[in-house]
Amino acid sequence: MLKKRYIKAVDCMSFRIDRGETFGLVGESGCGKTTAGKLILRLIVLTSVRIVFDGIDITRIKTREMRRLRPRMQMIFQNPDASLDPRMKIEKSIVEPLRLKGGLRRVEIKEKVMDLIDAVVLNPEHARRYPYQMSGGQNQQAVLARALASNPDFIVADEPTSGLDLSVQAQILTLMKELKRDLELTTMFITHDLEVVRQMSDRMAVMYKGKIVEMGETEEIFSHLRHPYAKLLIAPDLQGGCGHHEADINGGNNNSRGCVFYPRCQLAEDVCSKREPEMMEVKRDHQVLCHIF
Amino acid sequence: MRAWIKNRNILIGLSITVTLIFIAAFAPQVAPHDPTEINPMVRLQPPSKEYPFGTDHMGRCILSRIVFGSRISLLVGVVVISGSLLIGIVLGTISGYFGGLADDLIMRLVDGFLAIPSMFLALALAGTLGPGMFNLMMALIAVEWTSYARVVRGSILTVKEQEFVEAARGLGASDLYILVHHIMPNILSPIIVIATLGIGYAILAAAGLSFLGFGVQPPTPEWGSMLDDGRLFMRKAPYIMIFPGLAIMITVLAFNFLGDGLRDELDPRFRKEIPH
Amino acid sequence: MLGYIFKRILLIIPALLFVSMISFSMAYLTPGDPAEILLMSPEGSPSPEAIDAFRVRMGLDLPIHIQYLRWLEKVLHGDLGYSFMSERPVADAITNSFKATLKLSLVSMIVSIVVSIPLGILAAIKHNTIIDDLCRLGALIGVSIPNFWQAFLLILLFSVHLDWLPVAGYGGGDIEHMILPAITLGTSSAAVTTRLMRSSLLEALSQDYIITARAKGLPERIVIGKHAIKNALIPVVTILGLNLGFLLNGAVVTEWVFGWPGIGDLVVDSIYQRDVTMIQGSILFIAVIFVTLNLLVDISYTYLDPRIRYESVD
Repeated sequence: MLKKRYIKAVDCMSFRIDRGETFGLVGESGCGKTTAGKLILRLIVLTSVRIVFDGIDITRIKTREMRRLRPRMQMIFQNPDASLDPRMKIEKSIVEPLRLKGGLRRVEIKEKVMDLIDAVVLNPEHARRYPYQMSGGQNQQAVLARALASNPDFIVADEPTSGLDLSVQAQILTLMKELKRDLELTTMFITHDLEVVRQMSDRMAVMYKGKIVEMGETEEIFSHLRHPYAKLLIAPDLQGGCGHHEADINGGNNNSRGCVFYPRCQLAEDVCSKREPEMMEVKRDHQVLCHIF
Repeated sequence: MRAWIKNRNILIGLSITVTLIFIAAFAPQVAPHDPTEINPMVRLQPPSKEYPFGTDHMGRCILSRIVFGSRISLLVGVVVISGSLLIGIVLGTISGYFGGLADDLIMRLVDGFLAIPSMFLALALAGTLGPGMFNLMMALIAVEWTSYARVVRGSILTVKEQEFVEAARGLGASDLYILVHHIMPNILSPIIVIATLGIGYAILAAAGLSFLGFGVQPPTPEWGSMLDDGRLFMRKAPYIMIFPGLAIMITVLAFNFLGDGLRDELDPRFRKEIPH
Repeated sequence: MLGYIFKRILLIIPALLFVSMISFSMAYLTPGDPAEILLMSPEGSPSPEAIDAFRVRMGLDLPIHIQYLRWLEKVLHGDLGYSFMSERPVADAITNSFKATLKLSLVSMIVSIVVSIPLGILAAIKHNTIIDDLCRLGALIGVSIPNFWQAFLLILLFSVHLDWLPVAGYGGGDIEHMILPAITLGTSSAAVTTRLMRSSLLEALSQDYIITARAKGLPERIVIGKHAIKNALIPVVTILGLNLGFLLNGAVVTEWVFGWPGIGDLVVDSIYQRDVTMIQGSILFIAVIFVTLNLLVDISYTYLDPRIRYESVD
């Protein structure tokens, strides 16, 4: 009858994020970045994955221990309206991490909520409303507040500004920058928007079909692009107008031989179809997954 | 949410239901006579001032029997629905939330029960378990729980894929917490609707089974069995069976109005708030 | 498509197995010993020897799972045993009574369709007017009215007062005897179908292609007639299939009230008489019929509704 076709969302990725830095993960939609984000926080479980958080291998610990660690690592999901419980008032959603952790008195919780609402520049009046009564931007602020409630060390932000108006996007990004600075957060920024990556992240990685094809310091990458795909993505005008930007999940090379970008690569050579490339360090803290560079 | 009062269906349904509850609660005050008092001298009397609905073949006041019968009907309706809801929610949750083998087994069980048309199953169960209100209620619960299990399972399947559930998990919530605090409140709407309509159906089914002789036994006044009594006297004293039947119809109608109104109120909002 | 059908049939088997177990265990839920009850006579309780002899003859002395398997084996060969009461074959009694039920059901369905489809269309066209409200009220009443009461009212009016129709009985299955029960059953199911016809037509009327047709200037008659109704009928056709379940359920009490010797009447009687083999056989039979009918409805629904058809070709 029918065979199921599996597509590897994440295939052989390896990177590190240092405390206090903002790490950007860029790629087209469907390249697996959301999956990567969820994997890091162990929201999706795979056995062939190893994740170390502050020295603890979270892929090997028990569920109960993981639950105790969760307050330290939070995720901001892509769609703010969907990630808030429609039946709960905004302030109840924000409070939830505190209630889960337990141990705080009513008064303390109330105070903390007020602080959070202030921190994200949300109108206290609005906090008493329901998600469907608020705009996308306001809901995203609420989601931010909720993520901060447990005093996390690490936040994964998955497309926090997509779907929002441009002015609101700017607001949210500024807000996040300030918070990151004030609270000394470590962040991972997942986005397809290159401007955002450039603005927000210290280091970044470019993803293509589940693999990282180029990684390093943000400014370095933007000024010295190496990988053919990265060039297509980030500076298409330099290529002379041959950029295809649709995600091409079903097309392309699903075989395990050769470079995953081979079918679309302008500069491909023979070896590219035969052997998978390895990560090569091109400069200090600038790596490329390619045979040629 | 107080706009619900403006909904005509809810208004009608609620007023009748509240009246019924009042009548049932204050039956001794409302009824003009003792419902079980046998008085051969006045048997088969047509409606009069003394006996507004007439008397039956044993000289009992029909109105009084109907008033007290409301207690039985409401009790049966509520108990049957509560029992079915309990079983349905538990099994539906296990099936929908945890899935896997449990889901398959429970669904096969549901299919098995649903294979027999409900009236036949209820009849067979009530008949073989023996007479009595308790057995009647057990038989009806055994028939009704399947609908609730299915609805709960379906709703949970939809809700558990929503992002806020994943978000809650990300916050460190356990499965139990998520079920109680996030999933349940979001599946309440359809459950309320079918439970309300279900009470009406349970009352109807119970009356039918009592009419056939299973369930409540004489001399307890139950609307269905009163109709059975009236069968023999259809020509001479049709009011014996007309009034109990009317009572059943009005009661079931009330719950149907209420259920319909609730469905109108809850459905579109439900659809709006939870994007499919 | 065939794969879908095959899968559905496969899914039915555990359900039927479960049903067979339920049917079989009916006998054992009964309080009291069936043998003793049956042999009870005016002279007094039967002697222990008589009870034992009866039990051996009916095979009641073997352990339960053995009895179940023996019963199941016989059933699969079409042998449903003999009635405790009349010692006639159960299978014959069932098939005869089912024929009667079938007759009644068919006529009831016709009544139901004749009433519900026009009313549903009317209610939809006259949306939000008094007529619509009346139709909806009527449907609601139809769903709330106890069918045995409705039966009595009809008998009271047509048989007792007007003397137009016989009160009860089969009468060889002629129209006279069938009218009142068919109206009773038909109107109950019509109540449900009317609402569905109305809502599905309303939904069809709000579709884009209807607005387009109107914009093209087509006369209203054609707009409604050709396009809307045709598409609105699809869910209605499936409801008619579900109506079968409704009719079967209603048949229990209705047949009994009217003395119509259908399978509902048979089940009630056999329960009164504690006719164990008859109960087992008839429950099993009705379940198999019901499941088969539902399967057919499911399959034809898949066939009719192109959306589902494409989904299942996966």
